[in-house]
Amino acid sequence: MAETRDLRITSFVLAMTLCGSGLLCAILYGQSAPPASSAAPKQVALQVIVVSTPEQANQILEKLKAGHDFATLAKEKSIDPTADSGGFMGRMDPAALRPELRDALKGVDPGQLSPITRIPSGYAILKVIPESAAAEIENAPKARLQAMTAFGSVLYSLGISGFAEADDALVRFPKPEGWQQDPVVGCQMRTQSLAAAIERLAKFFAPANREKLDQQKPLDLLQEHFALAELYSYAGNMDPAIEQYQEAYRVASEKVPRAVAQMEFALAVAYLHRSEMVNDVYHAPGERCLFPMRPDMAFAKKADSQKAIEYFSKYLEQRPQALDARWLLNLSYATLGTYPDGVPAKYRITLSAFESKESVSRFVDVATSAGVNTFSMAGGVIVDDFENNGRLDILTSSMDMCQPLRYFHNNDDGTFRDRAREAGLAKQLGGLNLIQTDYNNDGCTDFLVLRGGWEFPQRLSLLKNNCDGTFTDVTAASGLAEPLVASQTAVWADINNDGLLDLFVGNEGGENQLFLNKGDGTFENISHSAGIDRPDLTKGVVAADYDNDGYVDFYVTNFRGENRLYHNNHDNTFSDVAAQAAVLGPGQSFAAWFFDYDNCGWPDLFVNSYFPSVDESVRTYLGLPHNAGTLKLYKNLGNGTFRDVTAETGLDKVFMPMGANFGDIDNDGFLDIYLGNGNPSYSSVLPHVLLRNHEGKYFVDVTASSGTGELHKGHGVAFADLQRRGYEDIVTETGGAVPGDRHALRLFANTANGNDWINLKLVGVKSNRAAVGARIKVTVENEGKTTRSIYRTVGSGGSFGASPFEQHIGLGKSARILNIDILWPGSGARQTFAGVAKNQFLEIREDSKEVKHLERRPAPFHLPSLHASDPQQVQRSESSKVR
Amino acid sequence: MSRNFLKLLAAGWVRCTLFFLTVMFAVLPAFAQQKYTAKALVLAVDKERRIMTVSCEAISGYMDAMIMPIEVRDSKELEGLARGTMIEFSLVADKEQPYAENVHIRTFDSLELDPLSARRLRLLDGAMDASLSPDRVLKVGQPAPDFSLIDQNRERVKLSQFAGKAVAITFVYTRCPFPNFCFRLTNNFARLQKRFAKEMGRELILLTISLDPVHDQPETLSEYGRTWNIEPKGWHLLTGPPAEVQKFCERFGVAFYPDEGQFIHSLHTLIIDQQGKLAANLEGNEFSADELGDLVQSVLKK
Repeated sequence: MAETRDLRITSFVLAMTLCGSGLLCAILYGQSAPPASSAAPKQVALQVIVVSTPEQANQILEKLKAGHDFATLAKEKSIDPTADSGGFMGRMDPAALRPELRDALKGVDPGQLSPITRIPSGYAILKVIPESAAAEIENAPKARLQAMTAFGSVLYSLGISGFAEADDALVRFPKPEGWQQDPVVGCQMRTQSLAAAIERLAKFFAPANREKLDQQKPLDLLQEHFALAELYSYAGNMDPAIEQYQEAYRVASEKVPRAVAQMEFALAVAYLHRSEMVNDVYHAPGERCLFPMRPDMAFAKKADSQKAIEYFSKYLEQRPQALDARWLLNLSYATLGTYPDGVPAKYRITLSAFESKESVSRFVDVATSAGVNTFSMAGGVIVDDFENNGRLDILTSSMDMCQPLRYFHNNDDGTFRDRAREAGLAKQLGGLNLIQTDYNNDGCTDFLVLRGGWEFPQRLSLLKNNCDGTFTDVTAASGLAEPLVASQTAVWADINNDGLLDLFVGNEGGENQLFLNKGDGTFENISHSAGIDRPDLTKGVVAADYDNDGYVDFYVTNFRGENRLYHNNHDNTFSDVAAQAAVLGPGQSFAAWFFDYDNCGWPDLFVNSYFPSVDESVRTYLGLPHNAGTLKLYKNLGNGTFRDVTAETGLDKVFMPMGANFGDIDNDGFLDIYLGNGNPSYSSVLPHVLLRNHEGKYFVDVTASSGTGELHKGHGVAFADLQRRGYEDIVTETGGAVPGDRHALRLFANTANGNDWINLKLVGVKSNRAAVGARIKVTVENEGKTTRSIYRTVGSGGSFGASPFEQHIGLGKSARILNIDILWPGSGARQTFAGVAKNQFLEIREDSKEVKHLERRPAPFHLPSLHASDPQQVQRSESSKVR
Repeated sequence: MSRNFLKLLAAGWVRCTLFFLTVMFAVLPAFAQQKYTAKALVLAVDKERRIMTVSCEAISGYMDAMIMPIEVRDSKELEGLARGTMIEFSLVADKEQPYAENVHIRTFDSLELDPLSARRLRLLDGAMDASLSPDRVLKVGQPAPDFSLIDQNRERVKLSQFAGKAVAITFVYTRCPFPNFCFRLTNNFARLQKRFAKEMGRELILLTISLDPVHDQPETLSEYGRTWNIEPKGWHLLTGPPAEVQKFCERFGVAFYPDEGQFIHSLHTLIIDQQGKLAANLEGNEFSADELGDLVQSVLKK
């Protein structure tokens, strides 16, 4: 019984069913095939009957064929929630249905019936209602269609990382009152609870407990070994973890045969993870694990990858269509340097799906030579000038409750030095995300640390920049310490145009918060009166004046439920107009941002969709139909509403983006997108994605040619001209949700391109000093012919990763700047500057009639010798350069 | 190739062969003593008379799903059975008197990711805190603890206020994405509401307790209620302080864990009888709404 309801078996059945068509079969077996075209969605009116057994379904099908009324039979016999309304499902795009039903509807004309189709709740028969008879369907209860819809059939992989287990151990561990307010105590609790859980579970298997163990249900015994394995995995202690997974596998083989396959998958993932660890790819990745992996980058120590291949192969023998295992099997071969020829043809995934359709110049990771040597879990990043010396520093955090912030001071010679301790940040432990501000308008960049996202409430930290290279924690004094929330997203914006940056914090497991900046270093919590205090599970908050009415609005993305577009009512209150504006989101939303992707003068909206399913991502690459929600791009129509342009811009893809941001990698004036992918499981090893904006028309995946396809977990992303040469580099905080998945940050240095640029630093006087929310319009003439305008808004970009407030703006080929127009937030003042020279750094003050040239000395990175396969050697050769 | 055949392939050759055998027996002319494999939910057990009453799933080629009393030859067969136990047995279709043999309890051993993880975390809970051990939960016949929560109309609801009525309780959260977990449990209740339309509110109460009380505020639950056409007199959707929900859940082995924005949770449907005692605690989703209805019926009749 349980077996047939196993999701994976269902997928197998589906895949076998799909194989009825030769073309799909070819795709499933990895042969090249054209990607599925994204035709315009066509809505059909549908009716459904679901019954428990195939026999009942056959009887009903016969009755229907004999002319019985569908609605009557649905009311009498259907077990589906739509039964009461005669089985009416409403009008829907078949693409939104479960894949089984989607398939069953192929070739079914209006008035006709689908074949009997197995879905999780039973056996379904669909009818396509002719438009003429579709009057009754308008009131169909959409929310009751969950069993029919695609979201309900997303396949999630077995999680291997101990994330849930370690959090549970911490929740159950006795803790002192107020532990969440002190990061130091939080670290102690994390450490002690993990040790206690491991010790207590290990006791289960002591010889003295033998008798009790023998009486246990085999599946429980298996699960106890598995739980212990997970806890060891959490810490990255893969030797005892693998021993315990092996024990679980042994119990399965002897007593729970139907669990064997899952244990094989777990073992395979654990071996692959250990393979990466013993080969030091987390510490010193170099060019390894940049997708697509090159054969000369093969791992030196091969035994664990071979074990991974052994177990993935065993698993695939039973479930040959499991795309997650097939993908990881291919990666395992790649670590041995034997991809693609070594991969059995039936499991091979060809690279054609991943090839870049457009070529961009290759980025080079310089993190090691630059001395930005993080080794950390998931976290945030800010790139900005914290010292007002014209150089961009890098600040990173880690959700590891025991890891302090890292503050990389820019040495102005292509290297950085961590001065977190001198800066007073050594006790700032943990933090899943960071965002900068200048809340007190003193011209020195402050920042906020967000903690507890995905987990449990922990305190925020507001760090005031003392303008002397040190920071002070002013959280309590400023009124931000209470109430305690779990959050990972916040945005600063001046909601009432008083020249002070206010703060919107998006929370999980509690209400969202809006803090009004009172100008005396304190904030007033106006969440309730502002009307934004909804208990959403919020993963992203961004701000923009989307309707150009002079007041900043907020967009809030939620992991569950609909997103919110909070329109500013000009009186410190907000109204959610997401439905009217048609920006409700992709279903499971995560990082987001406003940007003007097509330079039309109105902020458009990009929203990531986070379905933690390797299967869905691989489906996207192979051009198979997907079930999860895609990324979303909403084009601002300039009338308060947006149009979903996802499909026409080529973004109708399912990745697994966490950290993400935008910038202009080729200075063409059009903003590109970088997505850091993954989820907590060690099985989610997927390339980050770089999407090039093709003249504001569509986006092209240029990951492979750009060399930015890091395979490990991507979090905070920032775009910044770190080298002061006029090209944006990409910084991506890399690492997973558990200590065993820590990783070095990637600092992808951009290479020169022939396009022009301008870099603007805005200084507000009446408006907030950091000029957050200021609108920039640069009008250029390219190659002496075409004239166009390029639009930017001052801010840190997306909601997960913070780019500098200074605005680096690509101008395209042979540009001549005709005008720079600034619209200041708060004051509403406008400035126009004509005849400004290109390719320089400028400061624009709100009260000045002149632009000011800023001297910025180029400080190029030291590029590591390309294609060095021995990371030790790379480190040695570079250590001399760094100090 | 027929789709059914492909499904058989998927299920594996061993099962496949067994299935063919069953089908073959079913279609052969009945011999004097034909045996069928049957799945059922126990509604009542009478050890003295060696009879159990079960809600039995349909047996292909032999009988439709039905409530039936059935004898066992050896009273030991009934050991460990209680109302709400899911069983599998051989139905011996003796011409004179059909009887059951080889009765064994079907525990909910799902290998689907969510129930699998929930069980693992429950075992870990037991290791961290012995009072949370899965074997310490309330047993059938023991009095259920009271709670005080609020419903979709912001009315305070206590379990004790329903004394004298049968109460069915399930645990879901409105954002649960899996159609075969929360959605199925709620759909079961929607079908109970329909089947027991006359009894609703007077003799039978349905309670849905949110495992995500922070997000599932009364307004959210009210919206959820509209989706399911809830009759508010008899069906309350409940939320309240997380600690109160947690405390009540723990007594029944209902476990839930936040996990990347979702909840890993176990699946339970409880029936509390008119005396406030636990009449049944069904774990999982491997019973039909009809079987659950039969179970409720058996408690209502008592």
